[in-house]
Amino acid sequence: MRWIALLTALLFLLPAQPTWAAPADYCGGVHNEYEYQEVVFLSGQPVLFKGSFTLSEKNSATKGTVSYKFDLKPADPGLKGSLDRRVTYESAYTNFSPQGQTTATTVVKSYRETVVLGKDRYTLEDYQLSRSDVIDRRPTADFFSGTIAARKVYKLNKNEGSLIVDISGGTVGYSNFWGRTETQVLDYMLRSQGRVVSDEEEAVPTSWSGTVRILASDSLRKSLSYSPNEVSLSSFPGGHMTVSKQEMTSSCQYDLPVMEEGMPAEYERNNGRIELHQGMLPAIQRLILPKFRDLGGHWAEEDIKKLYSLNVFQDTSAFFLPDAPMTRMDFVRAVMRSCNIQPQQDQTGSLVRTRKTAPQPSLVKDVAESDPDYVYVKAAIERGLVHGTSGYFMPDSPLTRAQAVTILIRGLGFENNAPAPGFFTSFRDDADIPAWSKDSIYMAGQIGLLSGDSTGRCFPNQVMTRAEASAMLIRFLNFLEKDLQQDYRDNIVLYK
Amino acid sequence: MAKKIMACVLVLMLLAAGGVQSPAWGADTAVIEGYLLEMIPQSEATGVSLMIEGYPGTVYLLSVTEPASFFIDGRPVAWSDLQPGLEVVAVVRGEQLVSLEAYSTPHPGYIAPGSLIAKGLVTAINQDEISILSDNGIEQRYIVAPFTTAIRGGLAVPIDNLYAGDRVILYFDDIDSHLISRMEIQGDSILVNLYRASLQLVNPLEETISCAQVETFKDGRWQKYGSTMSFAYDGSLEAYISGHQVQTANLKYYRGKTVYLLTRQMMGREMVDRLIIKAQTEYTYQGCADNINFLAGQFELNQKNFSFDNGTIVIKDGRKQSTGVISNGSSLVVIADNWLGQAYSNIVWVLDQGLNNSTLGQQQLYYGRIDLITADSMWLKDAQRLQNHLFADFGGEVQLYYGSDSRIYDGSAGKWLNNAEILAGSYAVDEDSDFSDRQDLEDWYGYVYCNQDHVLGMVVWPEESDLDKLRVVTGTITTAEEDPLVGWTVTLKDSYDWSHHNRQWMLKGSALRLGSSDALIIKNGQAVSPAALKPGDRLYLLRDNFHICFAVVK
Repeated sequence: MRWIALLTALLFLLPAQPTWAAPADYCGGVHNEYEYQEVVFLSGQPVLFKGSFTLSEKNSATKGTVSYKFDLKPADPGLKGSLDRRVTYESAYTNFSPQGQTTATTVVKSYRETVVLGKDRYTLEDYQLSRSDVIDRRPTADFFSGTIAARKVYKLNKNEGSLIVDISGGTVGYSNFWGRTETQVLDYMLRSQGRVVSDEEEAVPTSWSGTVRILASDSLRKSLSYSPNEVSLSSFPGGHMTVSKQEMTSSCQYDLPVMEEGMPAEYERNNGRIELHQGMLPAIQRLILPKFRDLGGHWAEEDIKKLYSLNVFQDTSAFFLPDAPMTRMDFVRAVMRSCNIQPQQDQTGSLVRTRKTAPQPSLVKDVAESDPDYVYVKAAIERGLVHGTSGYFMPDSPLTRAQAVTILIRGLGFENNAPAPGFFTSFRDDADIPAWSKDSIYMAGQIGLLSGDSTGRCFPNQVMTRAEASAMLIRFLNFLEKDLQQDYRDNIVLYK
Repeated sequence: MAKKIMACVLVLMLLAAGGVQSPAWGADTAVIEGYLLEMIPQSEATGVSLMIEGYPGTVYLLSVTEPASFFIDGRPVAWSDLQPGLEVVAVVRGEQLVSLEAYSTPHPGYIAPGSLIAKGLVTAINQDEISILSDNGIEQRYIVAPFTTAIRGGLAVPIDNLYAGDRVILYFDDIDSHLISRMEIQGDSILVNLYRASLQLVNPLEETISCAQVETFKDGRWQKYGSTMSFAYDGSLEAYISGHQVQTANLKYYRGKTVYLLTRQMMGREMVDRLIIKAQTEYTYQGCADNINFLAGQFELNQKNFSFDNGTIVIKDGRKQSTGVISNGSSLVVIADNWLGQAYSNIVWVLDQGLNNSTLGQQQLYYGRIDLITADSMWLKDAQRLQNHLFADFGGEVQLYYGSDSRIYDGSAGKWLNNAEILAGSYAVDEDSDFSDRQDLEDWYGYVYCNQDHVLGMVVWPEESDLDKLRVVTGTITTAEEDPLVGWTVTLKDSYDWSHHNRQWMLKGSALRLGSSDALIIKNGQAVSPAALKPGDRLYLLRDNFHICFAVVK
């Protein structure tokens, strides 16, 4: 009985695969809470459809199912038509825990689609899809990339022809506490074979082909915003809040034939681009209020208040001491709290150790297992954020700039993107950069997390003050929130 | 266990042969360079022993205790990361290893081609050197190489398609390289629109601005566009009043004020790029800039001083630009706040246009009499070349080359010619020959658009054009349609004529309708038919009254 209960508990406690922000299906559609829009190209002309869309999904550690249901009508009320689509995809996950990676393969489990446009009816006869993804789980963000190949075969009316749509492309995305984005880049190749009845009542075979490039992105961003009080007699002048905004955008660049009486023109083409956008209502959460006495006018006041509002700093003192050195423990704790890195539960799934569970020895020699901060130290070491020195964590040692940058870059997993060893960074004090932080400092410079001063120096061994560390942490959160979105969405949709 | 026994046997054999030595030591440190032969794990207390063969062939056996440090290519590693065969440099003290550096990377500093990226705004183009202003405010210069490829909006384009004011992503193949391997240029979302409206509502949660009485600046004046409009913005909004920046949170205190909005169509929404609040007055001026002082932020226009700074909206080539694009002699339209004798430039349009987008371009337009045509080249007699918006004598004869990708149009017959037809046709004749005399044949004339000396497009006519009647015009197409009476036509807005007398662009002030049939039209570096022109295309063209002779889509 005990084993059944344990197994049941384990099933519930095994981490399910994360839910990504994802464009619905592979059709370049966008939606908000009540309306879905999609451009359909089956007739050889772009036609905008609108309507309702529902999504249901189930995920476990090894399997996932997602089902879409679309009921759409042409946006142009003068155009008769409808789109009815039901499709279910099934994914199988394989976890590679030592590497922190997961691969997924996705196939079509079931499908049904009928599109009516004017007098033409397109019925989906066959739908094949092969998609495979790799997910790299890093401490502060997960990144993934997928490749897609698919084919849809439609029958036109009873037996008047067929339309084959070959789809190829990929998808790329990330997920972290401050946002998630998935962008699809899909290339459609449409090939139609049909018949047109000529003036002499003869069935004349006709064919056309066209291409469509779809760039569809679903993005959620959580940003910090300040709301001042409109009154003057209050215990606080204003406070911060998080605003979570999700929006979907789609760009369809098409090259289709110019149709003249059902026949494609010999040389003329219909080129164009259609862009769609939908946004959800933002979700707002007010945050607690910092009440420090020693921040007024300080250059880092705003950054420190933001972090305190996020409950990153749990100081109860009235003084923050912005120019005091930041300790390693405080910084590691702040990184984990601001990025919502949860310390892992122990192997039984319980956060409370029972008498029957033997205490695990501390991973470091200078922080006891009973120390309340030990959970952060343990999680940081297990996730590779910190390595320590000869078994010591040195929690109260002052934090250097090189250490701070290295922790943040390791959180992203970006240190492996540095060039092969033997390079110089662009900083004038490159010779002062410790060997173990060279890769991280290079990457920090590349992504804008670290910039030199007016002389081009980064001062890697300089002790960071609490204010400087706060500013760097806020810059890091901005990177997670905004810079990643710009790279995964804007740089694809606006440039590709 | 077997491995340890074999290692011990090897050691004994080497000792017997006298091949394992201790370094020549005393208390000083010594350096051994060579190859790592073997790592012999000992018990935990004593660590590991390393066997190293020096370059001269001497083999050393070194014991390692905990304080020793290990590196591979400068990166700290554990001894267990080492492998026999690595080339190493060991620092020893006595028989103890102090540190060991191993070398593994065949190409230090190697990056995957295209993995180094720079992003930003193109601020200047000077021949093959491009200046990029990154988002963190640092300006860098990069070089366009012959192998540099360019993509705009997902489609390959010639590199000279680039404008100052474009946003680009640059890819490099080497860590220290400034040679651009590939360039991605932002698509049409870089083009800006300008509105004037009354600010109604700023919604910081949805990041939208609502405005009423919206007007757009068209044909030199503000014209009604819509009663209300909503615009989106991304994060913090760049807002200014008289050059002073206004925080987004304080925009609500300007409700009801007139604002100028610079917007772009991005991802299905119209997004505000910059907002300027009208301070006191609004005056519109046009003229040529003179006596520009960037330090003081001043220029002269029609003998009046105007100030400008980072808060000024500068538009050129349909793009937002930095103030650096304003130069002495630039044709400008300025919307200024003129108060108490001080004129502050809120908006500056730089009207300067040319055949090429920048100094990267090598496009030329010739006009001349076709003297001789061979299989791959042609000679123009009495050739003239368009320079500074005027045809100027090019010094007699010019030889140009044409190939299978050259598109040549017979304006008289109204058809495109292939290479065989241009060669076989009577477009260039020996006018002194009896044959020409009998057939009454004469040389034809042609407008030739070239990339250096390679013909991209050409239109030929039997009659000579009067080049003095031609006018250079710029404008943006609002409609392009086929008229049953006159053929293909285009209607332009915001059109300007080049005035050689005034040396500036002169505003038309109203829509301009022109015939485009039989014109040499260049789009994306190719000669195209008039049907290829679309609303929104910006043209630089030559016209003879109603008829367009030559047009290039900018």
